[in-house]
Amino acid sequence: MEITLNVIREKIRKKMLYVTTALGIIVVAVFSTDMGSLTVGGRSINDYHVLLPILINVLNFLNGAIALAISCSTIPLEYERRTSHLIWSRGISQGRYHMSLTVGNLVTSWISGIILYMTLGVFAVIKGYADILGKIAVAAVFMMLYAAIICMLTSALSIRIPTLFTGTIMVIILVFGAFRNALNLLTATLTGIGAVVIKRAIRLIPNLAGISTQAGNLVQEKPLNAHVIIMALLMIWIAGLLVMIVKREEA
Amino acid sequence: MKKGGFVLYMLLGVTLVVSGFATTERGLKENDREMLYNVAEDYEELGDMGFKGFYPLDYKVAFSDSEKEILVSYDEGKCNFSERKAVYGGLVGSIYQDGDEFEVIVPEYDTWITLENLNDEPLSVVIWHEGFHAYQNSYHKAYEKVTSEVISETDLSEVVDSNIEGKKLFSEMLKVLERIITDENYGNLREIAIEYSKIANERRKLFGDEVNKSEDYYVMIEGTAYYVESQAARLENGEKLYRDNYLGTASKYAEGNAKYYRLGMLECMLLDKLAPDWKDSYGFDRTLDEVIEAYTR
Repeated sequence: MEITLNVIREKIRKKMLYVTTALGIIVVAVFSTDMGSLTVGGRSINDYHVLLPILINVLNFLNGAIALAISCSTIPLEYERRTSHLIWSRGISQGRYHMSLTVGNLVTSWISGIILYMTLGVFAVIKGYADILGKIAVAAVFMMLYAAIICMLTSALSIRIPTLFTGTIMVIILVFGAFRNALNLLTATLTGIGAVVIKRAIRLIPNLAGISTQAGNLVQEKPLNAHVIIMALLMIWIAGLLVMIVKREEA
Repeated sequence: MKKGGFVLYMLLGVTLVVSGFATTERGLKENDREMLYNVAEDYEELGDMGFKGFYPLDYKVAFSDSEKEILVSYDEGKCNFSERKAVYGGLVGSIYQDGDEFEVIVPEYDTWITLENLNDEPLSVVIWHEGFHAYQNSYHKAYEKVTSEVISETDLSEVVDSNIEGKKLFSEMLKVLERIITDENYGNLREIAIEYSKIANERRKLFGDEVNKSEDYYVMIEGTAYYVESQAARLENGEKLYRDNYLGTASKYAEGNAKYYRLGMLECMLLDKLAPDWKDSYGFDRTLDEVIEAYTR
């Protein structure tokens, strides 16, 4: 618990959450005010009920990027500072240590996501859509799933892989996962053995777009796809297992 | 982690894996099924649109993920389906002849949704379009009636789009027809039809018989299907998007095959005003230009 709290305190000290707040205000403001107008299929969209699923996608992606940035270097830095040695002397296992650090990353990502969603809520009230606050709160649960996938996978990879490579791999996973529907469309146009291999590879990428879609479905009172949610939980479970079993040699 | 905790964690994993398998959609996916219901619902409102015997769900619909297809036969709300290897590779909206039967092939909804977000064309509208091709070829044997060789769309575009005078006259034809959809006081319909036919005939002199017949074929086959599609889209997307996406672009010359879709749709709209019962006697055995000319005499 103390290790987790230390991670959160450190991230807050590094002003990561200020960045998040600023980003949240800018993004939501651009979509919500006259500073920007969103047009889909020739229709100008400024009704929050219609805008909400789109904003959920944008905010989840942003928070995913923040979760990645937060998680990328936490574990490697602890080893670099040799803090790990102090932990071992107290008889805490590597698995538990890694998990404590990861939970610290996760909670910080969630705080960041909640700030983004609170900004959305404030703008919704200002624009006269206080009735959707409940929906925004429920959508935040899906943001937590989204951030947890990125956070856990990044933390798991960062145990053994150099930070730069972890970051690169996770940026690819984040972008491909967030645009998985577009990727499906692109690969559907391909034929041949190569296409079969690419399609299988894409299935391994977490369906982040699907998670945001479920949040959108929920706020629009459309049915949810339980499979997408279960697969997201499974992905978190796998990443969690990796965090616990992958060991670092210099420990 | 302690042994008890580890066992619990593994049990949670097993539960998630089992739940994942249990919730995997097999066979006909719910979103795809929904598209068929949408078409059936549209039909209650639109009917056969004057094309006697036309109902898109008379034909089996295959939802393809480009590797395998779920072939569905819709019968009054019930969907009977089977799985097979995809008959076409890639992203395809088309028809496929299996023995004497024509089937509609469309991408599955999960693949199509990205395109729908970009162009506002619901998958159900694609089923209307392709279903109309199935109707043309099964009810009217449209393809069998074609007596001459039809040039491929790519080869035809190369010839037609490089002819400056041909492009100019084609644009004029579109502009003349556009009047009936943009100008409430479009004047005398017969005069518009005569003016249109005059330009169309002048343009025909620029090309050989093979090109003219190929263009006639695409205008007839694709133009009428686009007309049907536009009416389904109008019902599903509403008047504004119909005006933006169909009427708003109809009079614009487009390189490639799209211009034939647009011209054919406008010709159908002219005929609807000129002779509302024109479809009663139409069997895809004459070009739309010939039908228009017949009504100007």
